[in-house]
Amino acid sequence: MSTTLLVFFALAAISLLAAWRVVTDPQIMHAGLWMGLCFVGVAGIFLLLTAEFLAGVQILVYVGAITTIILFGIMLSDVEEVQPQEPPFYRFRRRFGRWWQPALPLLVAAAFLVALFTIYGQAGWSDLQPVGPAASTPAGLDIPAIGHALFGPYALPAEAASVLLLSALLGALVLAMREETLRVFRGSPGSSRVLQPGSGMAGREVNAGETDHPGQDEKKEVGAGT
Amino acid sequence: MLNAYTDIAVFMTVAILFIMISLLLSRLLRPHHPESGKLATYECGKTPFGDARVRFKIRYYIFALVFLVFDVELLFLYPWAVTLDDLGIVALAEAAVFLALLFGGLLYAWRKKVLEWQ
Repeated sequence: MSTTLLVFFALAAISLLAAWRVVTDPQIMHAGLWMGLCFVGVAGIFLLLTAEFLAGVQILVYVGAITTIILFGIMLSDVEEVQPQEPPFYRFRRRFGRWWQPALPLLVAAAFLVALFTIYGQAGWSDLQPVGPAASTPAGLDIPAIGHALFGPYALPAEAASVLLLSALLGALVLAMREETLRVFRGSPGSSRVLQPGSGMAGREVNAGETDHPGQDEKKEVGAGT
Repeated sequence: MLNAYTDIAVFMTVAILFIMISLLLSRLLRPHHPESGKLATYECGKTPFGDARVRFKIRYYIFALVFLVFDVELLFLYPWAVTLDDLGIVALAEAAVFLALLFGGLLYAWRKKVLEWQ
């Protein structure tokens, strides 16, 4: 067995173990961290496939940002709130017994597997040429190729990705502004300055991120505007 | 293949083994006398109260999401920066459009005062 195959099996084992722990760990916070480990394993597999940029992306975005987002999501939600009052499909389960409980996920997993292999079979892997051994060349060999593709023939999808990111950003802003509107509705302090058409952009720039206490920012804005 | 990453693999293995061995050694060496005061959660010397799992403000999530958006934007810019010399002015224009779209969103957030902490 070659070293590459050995490393692949080790990484696959780590990823699968972590993925299994994500769904079985009783502590939801730990489950989030296990998901991070699963992403690390997948990054290692990308590295084995000489997709170095993708491995870096996997670490930077998935391990770094997505895991953080998930953990934030857990911290933002009351865990007691999330737990359902009665288990899902309670009536259905009481009526039809428990035999379908392992059968249904197995069925879904099998269908997913068949779909995956169908798609992978159409990909035409034999046409692919290896980019080159990553061992003999300096790191980041595939990055120029990605750059050429991304801003050459695939420029429009890249711009579409920007639009997608913009919509994600706006979605986050709408969430934040809805909280703001709720605060206006309840009439708590700090609501009067949500929209101030009078003050200029320069004042807001200084103001952004510095105001910890409501009430002080009025003075700050005047000071920054002069 | 992948000899360039052997160093990293060795480093990670040694780091994990170092933690595991030192934890195991200290478990073998230390005395073990648990009592309720020792087992209590340490909270800067005060008696801890309430539950550790409190609900955080949604503002943290906004900043995490905005971070994620610009993190992904950075990923697009990295191959662009590497190949800018070859691709020339067209790639520069493409990246300008790419950045302008997201910068518009940021400006919008700024004007709506969503980025302020309150």
